[in-house]
Amino acid sequence: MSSMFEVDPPVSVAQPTDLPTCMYKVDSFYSDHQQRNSHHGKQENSGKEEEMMEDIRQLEQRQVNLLAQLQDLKLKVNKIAQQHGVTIPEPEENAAVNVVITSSPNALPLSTVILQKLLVKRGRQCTFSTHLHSSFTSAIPSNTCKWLARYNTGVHTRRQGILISVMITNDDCPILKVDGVSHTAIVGDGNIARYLCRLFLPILYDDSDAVMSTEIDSLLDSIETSLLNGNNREQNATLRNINAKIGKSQWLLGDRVSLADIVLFSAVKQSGIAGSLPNNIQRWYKSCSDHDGFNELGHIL
Amino acid sequence: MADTQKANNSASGSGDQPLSKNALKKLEKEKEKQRRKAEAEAARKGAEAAEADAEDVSKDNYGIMKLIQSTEKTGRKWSKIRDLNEKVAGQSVLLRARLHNSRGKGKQCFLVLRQQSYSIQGIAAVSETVSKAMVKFASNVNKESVVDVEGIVKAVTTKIEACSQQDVELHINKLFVASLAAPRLPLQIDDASRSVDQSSEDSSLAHVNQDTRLDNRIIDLRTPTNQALFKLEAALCKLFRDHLTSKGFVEIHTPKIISAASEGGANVFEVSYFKGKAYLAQSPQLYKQMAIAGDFDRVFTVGGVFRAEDSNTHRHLCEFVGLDLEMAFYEHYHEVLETIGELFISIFKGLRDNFAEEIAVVMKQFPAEPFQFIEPTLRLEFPEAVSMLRENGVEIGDEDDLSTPNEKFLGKLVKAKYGTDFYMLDKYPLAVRPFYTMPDPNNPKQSNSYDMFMRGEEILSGAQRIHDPEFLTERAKLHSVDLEKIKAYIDSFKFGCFPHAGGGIGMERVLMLYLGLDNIRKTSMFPRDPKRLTP
Repeated sequence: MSSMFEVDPPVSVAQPTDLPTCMYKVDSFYSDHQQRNSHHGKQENSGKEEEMMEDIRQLEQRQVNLLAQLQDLKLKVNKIAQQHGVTIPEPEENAAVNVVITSSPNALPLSTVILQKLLVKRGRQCTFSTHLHSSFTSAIPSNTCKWLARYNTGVHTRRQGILISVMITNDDCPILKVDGVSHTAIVGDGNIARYLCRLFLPILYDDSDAVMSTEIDSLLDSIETSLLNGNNREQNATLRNINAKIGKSQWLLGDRVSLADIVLFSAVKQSGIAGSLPNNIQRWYKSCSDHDGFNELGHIL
Repeated sequence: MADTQKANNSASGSGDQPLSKNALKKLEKEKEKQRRKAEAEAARKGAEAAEADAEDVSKDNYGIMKLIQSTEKTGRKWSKIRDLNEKVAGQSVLLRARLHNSRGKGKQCFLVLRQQSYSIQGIAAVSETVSKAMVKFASNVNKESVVDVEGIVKAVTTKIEACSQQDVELHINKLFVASLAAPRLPLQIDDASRSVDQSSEDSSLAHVNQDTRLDNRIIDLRTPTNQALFKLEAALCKLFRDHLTSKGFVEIHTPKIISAASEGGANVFEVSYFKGKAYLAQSPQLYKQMAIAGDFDRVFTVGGVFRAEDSNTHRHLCEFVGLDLEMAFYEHYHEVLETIGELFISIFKGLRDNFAEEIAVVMKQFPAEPFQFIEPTLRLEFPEAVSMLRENGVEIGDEDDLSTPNEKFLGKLVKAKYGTDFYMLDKYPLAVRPFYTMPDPNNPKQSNSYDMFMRGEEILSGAQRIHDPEFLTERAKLHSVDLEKIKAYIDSFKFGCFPHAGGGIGMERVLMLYLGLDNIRKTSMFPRDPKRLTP
C-alpha cells in the first residue's frame, strides 16, 4: 500500500448520469434506416428498392400537397385583394440586374470585361457604364481614359439585361456591390468574376463537375493572394505551379476554357508580367490573346 | 475741520477744567490724522491734474468721430485685414473694422478687430504716444462698434489662435469710433459661431437658437460661417449662370404677378391688383415654355418663387429663389437630362475646387460628410427605385409617389450602392405628375418626367412637356383642369413649338444639402415661412 489512507469519494459516480446534449431528441433518419435494413437484412434487394421508391413517392406527394396549398393561398390572397381593390405587384419577368463595381485605375476589373464580351457573344444584353467618383481628383491615367472612351456609352437602358456600373475611385481593390445595405460587398477581381460567372455564365464554373469547380476555386485563390498581392517569391512559386499544371494542354483545366483562364489572363495583364512568363504559360498566354473576349483587354491596356 | 472744531468746542465746553494729558494727546493725534488726509488728497489731485496734462500726448488720437456725412476726401489708403501678414510687418496701416472684442488689462488693452471672416489682434499699450486714458477708452468701446484704427503691424512669436491672422498683431496708435454699437447685444457673435459639436459637448456654453438668430439676423450674419455661407450661395448662382450661358442658354426674366395660378391653384398667394385680383407666381414654368415657343431655344431664369404652403418643415419656404431652365431638344428628353446633370456637376466641382476655404468654415461649425457625386450623373428609373425600396422592406405601390421618408431612405440605399449623394430618378408614374407632363410612349402608366435628389432630398423636378395643343387639351380635361384658365398657355403651342423639357431647382435647398445643413432657413438670408414675415 503506497498511501496511508484510502477514502471513498464523497460522491459516487459509478453510474454516469445521462445528461441531454440538446433540447429535443429526434431519431436519426439514417440510423432508423440502417436498423430497418438490418431487421430485414436478409431480405432481397428488390424489397429495399421498393422501400426507397415508397419513400420517394411519399416525398413527391408531400411536395404536390405543398404546391397545392400554396396555389390555394395565392387564390385566396387574390380574392381578398380583388374585394379591397388592391393591386398586387407582379414579379418582373427577366428583371434587370444592376451591379456596381468600384475600383481604382490601378486595379480595373479586367476579368469582368472578358466576361461581358463572352456574355454579349452568347446573346445576353450586358453593358458597362463608367463614372468618375468625386473623391478621385487626380489626373486620369491613360488606361482609364481608354476605358472611359470604350465603356461610357452614355445611352443605356436600365430596364433589361445586365448593367455593370463602374465607379472610378481611389479604393485599390475592385469591390462589387449588388445592394449596398442587404448584400455583402464582394472584394477582388477573381471573386467578382466568380460571382458574375455563377449567375450568368455557369458553364465556365458551376456546370462543370464539383472537382473541377474546386480546382478553379483553388487557382483563383492562389492568383488573388500570391500573384496579385504576393511578394516576388510567392509570385514565382505560383507561376511555376501553374506552368506545371498547364503542361501541353490548351487551357488551364484541359481542353475547355474556364473561369480560371479568364482570371489568370487578367491577372497577368494587370501585373504586367507578360514578358517574364514560364514557357507553358507563355504559350497559353499567346493563344489566349487571340481568343474572342480575351482580346478585348488589348483595347484598354 | 468741522470735527476739530467740534472737538475744541467740546474740550472748552467741558468747563474750566483743563484737559487731561491723555485727552490733549488724543486731540493732537486727531489733528495730525486730518492733516495727513488733506495732504494725500492734495497729492492725488495734483497727480490727476498731471495725468490730465499727460493725456495731451494722444488726445487727438482717439475718440468718437463726428458722423461721417461725406464731408471730405482725404485719399488715405485703407488696408484689408486679410492682407496683413508677416510680409507687411513694420508698416503702418489704416483700417476700418468691427471691434469684435476688447479686454483692458492695466496699462494695456487687447482688441480683436474683424472684417467679415478675417480678424487680427490689436494691442493698445501705454507708451510715449499712447496715454493711459486712451487705453482706458479702447477697453470701454462697445463690442461690434465700427472703428477706424491706425497702427503698426508687428510679427508675433507665438501664433494667435483666436484670430484668422495668426502671425501678426497690430500695435495701435490711433483709434476712432466711426459708428457706436449699443452696449448690449441681443446675441454674442462667439456664441452664434460656436461649432455644433462644441456646444453639445459643453453644456455651460450658450447655444443660440434658430429663432433668436433669425430675429437678430443682421448680427447673426456677421459670423464667419454666415459670411462664408452666403458667399457660397452667390457662387452657386454664378456657376449656374456661367455654365448655362456657356451652353448657349439665354437668361430671361418672367413676371411674378400673374393672372392665374400656374399649377393647380391651391398654394398661391392672392394679391389685390387694382380692382381685381392677381397671384404671385408659383413657378416661371409657363413663361419659360412660352420663351421656347418664342424661339429662344434654351432659356434659364433666376428669381423669386412663391408657395403658399402652410408647411413648417426644415425644407419649405414660402418664398425662395428658383433656378429654372427650359430647353428644346431634338429626339429624346434625355438630352436635357444630360445637360442638367452636367450643370450640377459643374456647380459641385466649382464649389469644391474654388471655395474649399468657405466650405471648410461652414463645416467647422456644422460638421457634415463632404458631398460626393459621380460623373456622369447616375440615372435611376422609378420602377428600379421602387424595387430597391421593396427589397429593403418598404411597402410601396407601383404608382405611388415617394413619401419624404422613403425619399430619404432611397437616398441612403443609393449612397450605399453607388457612392453618390446626387442622382436622377427618371420615369415617374404619370398619375403623380401635372397634366402637361408627356406620357411615356412605351408604358402608359409612366411619364417622361424626373426628379433629382441631393442627400436623399428632392431639389429639382422636371419633365418633357406636351407641346401639342390638342394632346395638351386632352390631358388637361383628364385632370379636370379649367380649360378657360389655361387658354393662353395652350394657345402658345398653336403656332408650332419645338419639343422641349426642363426643370426648376430650389437654390436654398441645393446649398443646404450640398453643405449637409439641417435647415433651409440657414441658407436663406431673410427666410419667409408661414410663421415668419420679418425681418
